Amino acid sequence: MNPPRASFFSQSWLILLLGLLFGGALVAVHTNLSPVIAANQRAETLRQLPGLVLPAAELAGAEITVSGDRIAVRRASGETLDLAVAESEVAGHQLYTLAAAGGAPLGYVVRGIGSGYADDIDLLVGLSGDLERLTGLFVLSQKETPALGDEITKEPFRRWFTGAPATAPLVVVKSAAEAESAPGRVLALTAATISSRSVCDIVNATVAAVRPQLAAAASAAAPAEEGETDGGR
Amino acid sequence: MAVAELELPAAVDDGPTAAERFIAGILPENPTFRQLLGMCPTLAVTAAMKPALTMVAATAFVLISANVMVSLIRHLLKPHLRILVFTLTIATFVTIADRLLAAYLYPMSVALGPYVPLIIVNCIIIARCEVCGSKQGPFTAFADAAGNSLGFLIGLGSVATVREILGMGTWFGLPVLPAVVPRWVIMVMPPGAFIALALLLALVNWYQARPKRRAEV
Amino acid sequence: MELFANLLLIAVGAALINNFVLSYFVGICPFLGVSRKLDTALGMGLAVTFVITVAGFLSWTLTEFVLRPGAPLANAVWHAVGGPGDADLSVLAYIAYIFVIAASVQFVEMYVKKFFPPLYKSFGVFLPLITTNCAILFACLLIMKEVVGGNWGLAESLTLPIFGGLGFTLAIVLMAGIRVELDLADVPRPLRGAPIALLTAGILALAFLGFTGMGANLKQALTPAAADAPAAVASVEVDR
Repeated sequence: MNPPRASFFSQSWLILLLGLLFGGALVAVHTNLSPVIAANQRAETLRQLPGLVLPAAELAGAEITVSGDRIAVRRASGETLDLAVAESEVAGHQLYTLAAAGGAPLGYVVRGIGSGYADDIDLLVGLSGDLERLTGLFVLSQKETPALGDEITKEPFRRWFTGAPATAPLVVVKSAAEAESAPGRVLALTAATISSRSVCDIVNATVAAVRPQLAAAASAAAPAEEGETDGGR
Repeated sequence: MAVAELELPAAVDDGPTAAERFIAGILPENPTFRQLLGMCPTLAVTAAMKPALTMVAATAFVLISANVMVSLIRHLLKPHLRILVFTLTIATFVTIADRLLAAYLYPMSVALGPYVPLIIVNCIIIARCEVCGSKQGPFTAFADAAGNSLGFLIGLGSVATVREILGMGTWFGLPVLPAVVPRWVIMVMPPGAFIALALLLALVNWYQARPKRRAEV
Repeated sequence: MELFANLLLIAVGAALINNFVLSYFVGICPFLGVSRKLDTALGMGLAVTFVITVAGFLSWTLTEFVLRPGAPLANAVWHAVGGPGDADLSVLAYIAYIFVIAASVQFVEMYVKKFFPPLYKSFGVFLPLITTNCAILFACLLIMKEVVGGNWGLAESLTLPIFGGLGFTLAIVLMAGIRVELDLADVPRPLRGAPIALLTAGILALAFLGFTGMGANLKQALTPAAADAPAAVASVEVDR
């Protein structure tokens, strides 16, 4: 019999060698791929931003590319719109401020998370530059019932959020006539009222939390126009 | 794994050729329908074809790499430490597959979520390493892994086809059923996975039993 | 109070709403393989719950202190050798977890064998099989995701595996109860064995689908503060 130490090495040298070999391979994979993966994760969200701020007509057939803090929107006509994104956190919500390169904010996109019917719903909601209107909705992740609740990701439901007033909470209604009668109404999906209501609740909570702070920041930035309000605080 | 341990002794025999290994993996010893291995991905990622095929590709990458790797070092293996070596090899290749997916097929990586790392405990891979990789040369090991990957493709592909067409009326996201046919939404939800696999297994059993009955008559 | 509500949500979510076996499909092998008799099913379920809790605790420790980006222990070593920025060992996570699981299975087996011989007799035979049970790796991965995201502490990371394991036990015991009765039934020949077991599991999954939606309601009932939040903010706005 070998002494214990020699025996340990004779038994396990293969595993130690493999460990070193595999460790090296993993380090190589990690250093090469982790920037790509991080960029993928960011681009996934940033790619949605133009559609949540700009009118749909401006984006018809447009191609969106993301690089760093810049989003390039190449329209079908060939002209390119260059957008700058600034990321910050307001009232616990991720906020993306979208501006034309070197210009004033075009609009804001806020991320909201809340519970849906099956699991948490993670969504982005667009706010116009003057904070008066919602400009769009995009669902990042959800696990609602297939073909019923998951219709919240589709255009017929999302369109109720485009152009709705941001000043008052959205109201969920069950008839199309009622939904069309006034702005700020959302028509509930058939057989998925809870999913529809969950989305509205998340949007309402997100907007209510973020909008006052954004308004305060905007009025602080322009004291000449809103001096009265500023003094009041 | 319980099933795998029961199946192993029967499957071990004296060195079939590469071609025999390849063929055996596809139908006669199909991992899904004949050996009931790798049930977890077969049920979990088969709501649609695209994630199912991505899963098959990732599993095939790990299966082939690990089987060939184990085969290359088979003479150096200490019998009582072999499972440890298998696990280390498989876990490494799974990590690589996971990173590659996240870098180049990001939407699929998000869709598959934790089921990519769960390839580590997919019994098919450790079973192939044990049955073939640790006993035969790299070429046979490659053929064996490729055959079993094709078998796995048949398993996942058939379950996903049934579930996506009946559940959403589409195949690879393309519409195949007219809109008047009602969608069986339950098929893309968890219970549908169990039911679809059960009925496909029953179909395979029924088909297997047929020629036998004729022979008896 | 908020922590308690959160833990209750995680517990109900892991055990019932998103049952490990019937909704996430992890741990299918023992679920089908060891569910022929009621007492072995219970033994298997308890063994899994035991191991999953130990592995969950170990994986939280490892993730929090070593594996997550910027973890204190990894950072200390990384800065000592003069590395720039934060250390990120997350690429090693899968390898670390599978060995943590193997180690906790060994550890639990030795411990139970030495100190609780009757318990070892009842579920000891299942322990080696558990190493490759995907439910355990799955729990580790869920914990990793939430800890890296900065959402979970130790309490949450222990609640998930304990109740996930109990949910597994519930599913496998229900399944065994049904299969015992099924032995007396006249099952069509092609459906015998695995197919009828899977069909049974499908019907069980259908029943568990009834728990969906419970989470949202429970959350609303438990956290009245969150439900009132929008109104509160709105009133602040009016005050200004």
